[in-house]
Amino acid sequence: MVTKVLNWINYRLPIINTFERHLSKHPVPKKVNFWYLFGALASIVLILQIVTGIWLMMPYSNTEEGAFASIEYIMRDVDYGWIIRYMHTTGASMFFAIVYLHMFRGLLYGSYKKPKELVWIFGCTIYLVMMAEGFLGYVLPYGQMSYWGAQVIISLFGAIPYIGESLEIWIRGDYYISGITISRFFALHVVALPLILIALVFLHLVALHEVGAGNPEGVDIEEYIDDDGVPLDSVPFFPYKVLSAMPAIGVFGLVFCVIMFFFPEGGGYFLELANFEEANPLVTPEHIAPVWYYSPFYTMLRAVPDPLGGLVVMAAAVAILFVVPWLDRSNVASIRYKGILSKIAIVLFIVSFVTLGYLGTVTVTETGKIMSVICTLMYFAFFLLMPIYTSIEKTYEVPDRL
Amino acid sequence: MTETTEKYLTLRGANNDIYFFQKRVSEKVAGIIGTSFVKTSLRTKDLNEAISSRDELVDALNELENSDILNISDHFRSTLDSFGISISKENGHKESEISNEPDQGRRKVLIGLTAGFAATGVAFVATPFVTTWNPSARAKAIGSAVKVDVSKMMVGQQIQVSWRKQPILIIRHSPSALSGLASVISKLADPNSDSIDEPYKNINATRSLSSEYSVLSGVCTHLGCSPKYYPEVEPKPWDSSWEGGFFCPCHGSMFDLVGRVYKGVPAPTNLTVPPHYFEGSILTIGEEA
Amino acid sequence: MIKSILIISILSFSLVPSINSAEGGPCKDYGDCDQFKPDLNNMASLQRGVGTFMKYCYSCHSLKYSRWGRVANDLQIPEDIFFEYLVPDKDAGPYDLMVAPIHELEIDNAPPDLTLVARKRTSSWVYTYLRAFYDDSSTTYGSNNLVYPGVNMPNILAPIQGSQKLGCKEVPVLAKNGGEKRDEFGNTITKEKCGYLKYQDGSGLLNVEEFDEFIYDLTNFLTYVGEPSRAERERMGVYAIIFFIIFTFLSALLYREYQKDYH
Repeated sequence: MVTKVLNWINYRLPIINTFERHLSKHPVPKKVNFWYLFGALASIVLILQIVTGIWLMMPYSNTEEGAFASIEYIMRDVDYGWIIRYMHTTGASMFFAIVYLHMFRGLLYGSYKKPKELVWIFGCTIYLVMMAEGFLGYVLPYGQMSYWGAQVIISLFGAIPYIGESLEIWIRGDYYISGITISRFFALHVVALPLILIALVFLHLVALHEVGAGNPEGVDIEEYIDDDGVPLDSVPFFPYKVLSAMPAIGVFGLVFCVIMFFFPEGGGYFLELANFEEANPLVTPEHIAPVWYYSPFYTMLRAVPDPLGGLVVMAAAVAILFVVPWLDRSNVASIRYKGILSKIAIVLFIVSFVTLGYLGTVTVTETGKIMSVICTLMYFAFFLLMPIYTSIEKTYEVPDRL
Repeated sequence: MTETTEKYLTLRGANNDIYFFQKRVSEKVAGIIGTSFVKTSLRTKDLNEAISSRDELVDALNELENSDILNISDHFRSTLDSFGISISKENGHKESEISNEPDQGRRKVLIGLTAGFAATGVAFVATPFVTTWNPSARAKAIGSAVKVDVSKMMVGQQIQVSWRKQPILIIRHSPSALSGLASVISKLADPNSDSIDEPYKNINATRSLSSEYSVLSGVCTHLGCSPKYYPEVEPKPWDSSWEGGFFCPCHGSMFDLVGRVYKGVPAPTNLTVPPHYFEGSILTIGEEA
Repeated sequence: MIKSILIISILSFSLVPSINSAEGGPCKDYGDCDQFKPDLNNMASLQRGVGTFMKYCYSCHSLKYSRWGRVANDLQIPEDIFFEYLVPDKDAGPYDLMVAPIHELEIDNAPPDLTLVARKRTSSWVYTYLRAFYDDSSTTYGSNNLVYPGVNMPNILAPIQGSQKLGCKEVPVLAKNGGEKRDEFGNTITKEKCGYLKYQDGSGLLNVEEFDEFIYDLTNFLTYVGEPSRAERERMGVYAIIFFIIFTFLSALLYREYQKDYH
């Protein structure tokens, strides 16, 4: 009976074929390491964010008077509302953590190399949209940090010559970040950007399935296929890939629960303390720091003395990710078979990125300033010098098979 | 090696290859060889080596296919042996070594445990998503008990107060109206409120905690309209022998003066009595004393 | 290679200190805040804390996001006792918000709402602040606070705590390496440093330890009211963690079982 119905539908709409092609029978490399699990985790967190987000929308009030109080309403008056909210706030930080690791995996193992350029570009676009989504979401509680964080970010647009000032007012729809601003940010945060995000994730996956998932060896498994055209060194997605993701989901759930149930503020990095006070346009908090996941870029912004220059550097830092497929001239994909220069470069890159992240959360000092300039330069050097060091270094021979 | 046998083997070891292989050999051979050989064929990463060892096996299998098991030559027997397929001379029966085969029992147990455990987890995660839809503390604050001073009501008067944004009907009955209740009993569907959960059953004729006032939820038990109060004893368009009571304008349900439903009307049960108590002339609706 | 990258990354993350310590101490002239460890399952402490709050704080400070009934229920105080002895407004019901009478009038510069004070400033700050008042005749109220210099609040707890004055004491001079400097006889070199709280013995109802405990209970209550679901949250967290440990274990077994198919 069920088969009959399924066949009837499949004849008209190939759901079974699509399901088999993209999920159950989709071939994935049989030997990958833990770095290849973050994609699956990211999609789980995305679903979690969407579901908890929908539930948070219900009691949330997007008005100037009601926004802050409605967060406390969720935390106190709504039955188990606090769980939903902490899931969403922890999920936001975890989403970024996972995506950073996922992107770093891409840099390590050359997940942008031909023919995966589009997969990488869609991924970078997802990251860009996520940054906007996270920012808009952070404004919604209308606490002090929401207000002043948004103030700083919107002022960045003011640095754009000629149109800056009117652009700022246009974004806010008011002369300060008011209820009008909140309700438009709300609409963007809960409808517009999630739609774009889902569409991009869809494209990211379709593009990936077209060219096939990579592996830490940088081997093209499509070279050796069996009579059915299935790569010899692959296993079907179901059950093998699902099963390999499950322990990872378990460990991730463990980390998630430790944070959510015991450290939901994440020491002030996930939920900043100043945000427990309602927004006050007349009083700036003593110390404004961005949430940790914007921190590296915020430091780059501060490293440049001129606001417009800072904005350009910050935008360039994200934009440069998009062209990585054309910067890497190496004939191998994986760091395992790249030369010593690439290895040194990636270590310096991660050190500079982490340092930038740290510097963004602390108050500016003299050494901090110098450090942030050096690290910003290191960050850009990693990308801009990539065509040179990847083409002159001696690479190792890649095996034929996994 | 023939065209068809070329299809027999792949160099992979995943389960679906075993299936792929077994699908293509005869039942006889499939029964004999089991699945373990595929693993053995994978002992090398060298493609050429793998191909040559595969061809050896294919030859042996062809032999197996075409001749009697008992008569298979020692050369092929040892080839099959090296792939973990042993054929006993004594009974000609398949004795293929199956220790490498997946332990289906263990798999089933593990799948059951993990799936059951995951399902429990999903149920727990789902709980807050369900409970957040319950009335919040603020809704409960707005819906908490209301107090009314009923001493100013005239005999026979009905007033309406709002509790949880629902109409609550309070009626002050005259003694004659209460004694007249007995005369309508024959018209009522459930005069003793047996079919509903009546909170103050058999205490007063008014169905409330007072011998004079009725406290009724003004929500028709049919589809939620609010019945209107018609205390007059006179013929009405809906009942030529109307003895006073409530009439619902939406679908014509009729109730007597204390909210008991008539026979043959759409409403299935009597109007409900909300929790309440009296402190002198102060009536509190929405909680018990 | 990858391992060394990982180690470097983890090391650099572990160097990141908490935001608070990066600020040069939120407790201002007091130095580092005294560490406060809440005990949200200690009902006796929380009950004493709400008593103190209602008696000394509620006349000026609201808990406007909190509801009476929830507090009574969470602190295991029977509702009739709670409403009779602790709630000044006799018309208040269990679902009413704890808004102090002063906040029902619209006045400028009203004392702040304290529902979230322990979350915004941390419990340790509250605990330190409430114990850091000292006599200062130069201010309107005759008192000042080391943690919040120039605070516009009278030292309401002075009769209980007694009088504290600013004093000086001899502190060891620190060498550049962080050790104490010593003279040639091996004695520690000290210098006089001022800005320390000096307690006048016997000037208050409680002695120092009793007062610390008194403030502990009050701070514990303010920590509770900042996030009333916290005790439950931590209880549930233990179960959630146990769940994921078992789930990880089971699914790892399953994964290894199926891995046999292709290894």
